[in-house]
Amino acid sequence: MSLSVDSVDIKKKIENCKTLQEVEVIRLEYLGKKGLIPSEMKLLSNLTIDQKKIKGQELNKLKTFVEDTINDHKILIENKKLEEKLKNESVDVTLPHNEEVAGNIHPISQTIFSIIEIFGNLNYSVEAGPDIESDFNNFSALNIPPHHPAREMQDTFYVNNTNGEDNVLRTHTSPVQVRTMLKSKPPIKIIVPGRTYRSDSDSTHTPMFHQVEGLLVNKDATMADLKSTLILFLKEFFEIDNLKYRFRPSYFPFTEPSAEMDVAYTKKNNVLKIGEGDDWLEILGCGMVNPKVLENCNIDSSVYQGFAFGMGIERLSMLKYGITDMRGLFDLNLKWLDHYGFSPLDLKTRSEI
Amino acid sequence: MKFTLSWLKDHLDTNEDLETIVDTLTRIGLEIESVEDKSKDFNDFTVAEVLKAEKHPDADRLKVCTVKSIDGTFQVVCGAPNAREGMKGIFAPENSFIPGTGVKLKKSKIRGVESCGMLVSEREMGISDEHDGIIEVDSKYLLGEKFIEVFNLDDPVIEINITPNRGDCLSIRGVARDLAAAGLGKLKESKLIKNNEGTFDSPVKWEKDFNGDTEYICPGVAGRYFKNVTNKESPAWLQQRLKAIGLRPISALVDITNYITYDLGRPLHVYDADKINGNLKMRYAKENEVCLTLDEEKRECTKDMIVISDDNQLHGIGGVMGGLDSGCSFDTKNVFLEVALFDPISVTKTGRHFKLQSDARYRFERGIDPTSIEWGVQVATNMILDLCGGEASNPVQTPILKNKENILDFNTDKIKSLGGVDVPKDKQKSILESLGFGVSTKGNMFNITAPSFRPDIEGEADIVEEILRIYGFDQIPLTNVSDHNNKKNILSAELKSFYKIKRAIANTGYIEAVTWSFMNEKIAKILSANVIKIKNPISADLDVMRPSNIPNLLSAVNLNKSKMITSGKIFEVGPIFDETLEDKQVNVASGIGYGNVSGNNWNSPKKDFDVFAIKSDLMRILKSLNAPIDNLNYEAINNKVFHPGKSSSLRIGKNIIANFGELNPLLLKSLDISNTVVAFEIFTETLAQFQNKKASTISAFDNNPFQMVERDFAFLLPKSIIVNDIVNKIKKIDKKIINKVSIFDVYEGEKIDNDSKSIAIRVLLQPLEKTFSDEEIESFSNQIIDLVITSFRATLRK
Repeated sequence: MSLSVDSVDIKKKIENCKTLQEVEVIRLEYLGKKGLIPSEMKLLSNLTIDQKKIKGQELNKLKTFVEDTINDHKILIENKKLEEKLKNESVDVTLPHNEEVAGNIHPISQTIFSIIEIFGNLNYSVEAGPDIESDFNNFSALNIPPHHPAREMQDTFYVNNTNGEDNVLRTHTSPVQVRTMLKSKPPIKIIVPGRTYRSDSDSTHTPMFHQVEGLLVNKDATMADLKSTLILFLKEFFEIDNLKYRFRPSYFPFTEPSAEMDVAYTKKNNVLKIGEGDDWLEILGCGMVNPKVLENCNIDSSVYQGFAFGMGIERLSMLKYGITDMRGLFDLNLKWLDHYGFSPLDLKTRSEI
Repeated sequence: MKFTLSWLKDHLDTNEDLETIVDTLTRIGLEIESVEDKSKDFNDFTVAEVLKAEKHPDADRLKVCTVKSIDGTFQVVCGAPNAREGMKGIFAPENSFIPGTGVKLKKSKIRGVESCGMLVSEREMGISDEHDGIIEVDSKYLLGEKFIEVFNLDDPVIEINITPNRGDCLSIRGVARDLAAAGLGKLKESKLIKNNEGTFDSPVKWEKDFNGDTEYICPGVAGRYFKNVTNKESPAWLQQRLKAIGLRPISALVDITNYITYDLGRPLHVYDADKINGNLKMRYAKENEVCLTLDEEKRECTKDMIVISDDNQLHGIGGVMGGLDSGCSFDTKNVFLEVALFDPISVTKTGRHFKLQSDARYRFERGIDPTSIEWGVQVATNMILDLCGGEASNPVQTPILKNKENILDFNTDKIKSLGGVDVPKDKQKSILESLGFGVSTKGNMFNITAPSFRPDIEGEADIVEEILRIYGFDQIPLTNVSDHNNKKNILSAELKSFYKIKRAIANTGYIEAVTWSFMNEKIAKILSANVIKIKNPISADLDVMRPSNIPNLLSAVNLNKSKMITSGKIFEVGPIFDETLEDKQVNVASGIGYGNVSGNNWNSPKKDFDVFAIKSDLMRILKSLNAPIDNLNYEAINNKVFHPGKSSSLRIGKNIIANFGELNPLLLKSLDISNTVVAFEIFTETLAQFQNKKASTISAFDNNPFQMVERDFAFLLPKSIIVNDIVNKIKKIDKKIINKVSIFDVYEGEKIDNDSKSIAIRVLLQPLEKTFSDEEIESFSNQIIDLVITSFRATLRK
């Protein structure tokens, strides 16, 4: 006995179907309870064992083939239907999207992140301290004598202290040097970014600003190390390899010898270009820690020495990012902040990830 | 400190050019502020002669002049009334840049007549305001002579910044000494320091009240009497030098004192001796004693001030300013001289009290050479006799407190160990000697005597600086400062939170701002009873330390409204201040949100930023900093920043980690803000405990294969019940199995009782060991229902 149908014919019939209903008709014809294949199956019992085996295998094979072909063709028909449907579906994708405000990081923070990254790679750690400071930490310990002009009311903000002695709003972040030296033993290697205050307000001064202070104390740091550290920092910060700079003598009560650094710049069409030219821009003050300061902080100056440096973060920000109006940094002009702000994903690591 | 090149050359024998001198000054620590070299700007202007001056054909006031300059003959139209035939003036040729007007001169037609070049006025040359006529020069000047030479403007003016330790360089001689040490020539002998014998005894004597413990206040004063002097205008050379550095010539006697102040750093005073009764005495002022000073101010002294007094009245305030009554005038015939020493701190205090700055105060404050009390008299004598004639008395002086010599030992290795550069020992010695130090050598050690004019020299570090700055800071070599040993944490946990939270908040759509640590007391007082006041605020509306970041951020609302920005999400991370806090401050990350932050979009909800929007942002921020936001306790807020009913504090353990909610309308009203603003405050230091996990401490992933089950419940509850309490209670049934409790509907309104609300809760159950049976699920459901009903006076809605 041979099958009354040929698989090729069945395939053709199935693939000629245009609708799922047509497929169903064919399914019933072959696979339904009274369909061709089940009917053939019933007849198997009449056969010999050997025939039954051969015939049974054939029938099963055919059943699987029909099922698979039907399923494949059903998917084909469904997809075709879907494709037809999609042809009639559309939106105007040029309609504007919801513009959620993108947040950003202030240029001062971004600058501080850069500074921390560069000095962090040199193995400096970051310290912080309070904005309201004692006279000792802000002035006396740093060898700024009582009659020094910086202490005048016109330069320093004073706040009442309950115990009678006035506190100051720190005029630099240097008091954190003092705090660090008083609480820990050398070697010390820190930077201190933070808010600072001076009673000054005009187009280039704000009553509050930011500084970063650096301090290194060990047994053998020299002025050569100081100079090298700062040059390395400035080159990395401004991302200029052949930065033209000047390292020249200056004076600060808390360092001896003292120095200041200038970087060269040119100004063309009101745009400042750092690193080359014949004009100079003062960028930081530094020096070897005055032995008196070490002694004031209970560090033996006959054993230990070190260096300190300080720079204005606003100035660094303005120079690096081309900001011309210092007061804009402290305004709440959202357009300004949006213009000069940085994506929170603009990381200041070397790999930038 | 200002001086001219030729004045410098009085003291410095040098052939170096201006540029080298200027570069060297900065290199050795005398930083250049400005260099004014008129010779470049004025090169084009020369003496010319007016050959003819005829009336302009079409303008009554104008003349058409024929001008002969060294370069030829030019037709110039000129409006000056003094332009006339035969005169000599200063001619500016075509294309020259006119300094006074700032324009480049072009050939032009004036009322139809061609004009090539210009005869200039003093104002056009930028040397005075004179513009009534053109400059006339004496006929002795030849055609082509340079304007700057005729007017003695060819001397470059140099201004340098003198650091407070270098009082000695507040004299031109001091600057010259430094330059000579730096190899730019030789320091000349001073011609002015030479002795003149007196011819009579001074009728006025110097006295002082400062002895013993107070002698340092005024270590001494010397002087001299000059009779039959003639005070008049100073000679031209002296006037020009003073003018060049910005001083106004007054009369020879006064100009001499100013000249010596700048030339040698020695302030002096001259009294009209005929106005003095008896002797002059240095003493403390009496309380409220009045001195009429040269600037015609009546100054009330305090008893710690040094004054100069005769038998009747005060004639000056020591080291700060002389008295008006005994000041020298052109009528002065007899003069008495003061060359004094004062304690720098005393002068500083007095000057500060009177808010009076003077060239004398400036120098006394920074310390002057104590030996100048002797040579100062000699110098003044020479100049007075030379310029004003007359006769000098024998010198007079009080006892003078001798200054101890400043001697110190210096280890020459220190240059290398502190400065990081090798400087040969003999070079070290020669530098010090050229700066006026005495040096004797013992092996590696120097025994150094600091010069009397260098009170700033205190120890070895100062000597290192002196040697290095002359040797050249640019000679300090570079070293390798990279440090790969002893790697340690860059940031403490607290600081990491402080900085990292900025990125977390910005990443949630907030714009970072930086605002003053100050604010207005009136508003601050609404927020805190412990506001810290600034004694000397920069302005009346910035008079206290801010007790919150939020009011400053709120100023954005109205500020940006005018720029058509009516919504925003803004934050600041920084300190807030309160008298009761440790260190009086704590760092807070604050953010505000207001308006429709998704913009007026066709597709976005027309809804303003609200409590739940900011709560969502806050949770996202906290979560990104690893705070366990499922274990938060809600507590009533403890500050006046927020709306009492629409805000909460969030506590973990004993720390409040954040506050959030709608801002208090009272606060908004005080800032004239009419819209709703929501905000959060995060106490950054409390997040320090939730650091990122190190890789090895992350627990293994639990891939539970059993089917989770979801059950919904709706309860009717009293309005006062807080949802978080219900959620926590349900979770407590079994923290492992109760995987998630969410609220999917909240209803208050007409359909239910006024005091009630309906809450719909979805609970997700996670089987642990095998799939739940129907009975188990039923049992959990009943447990939840019973618990909520009994704990919260709830009824189950069917």
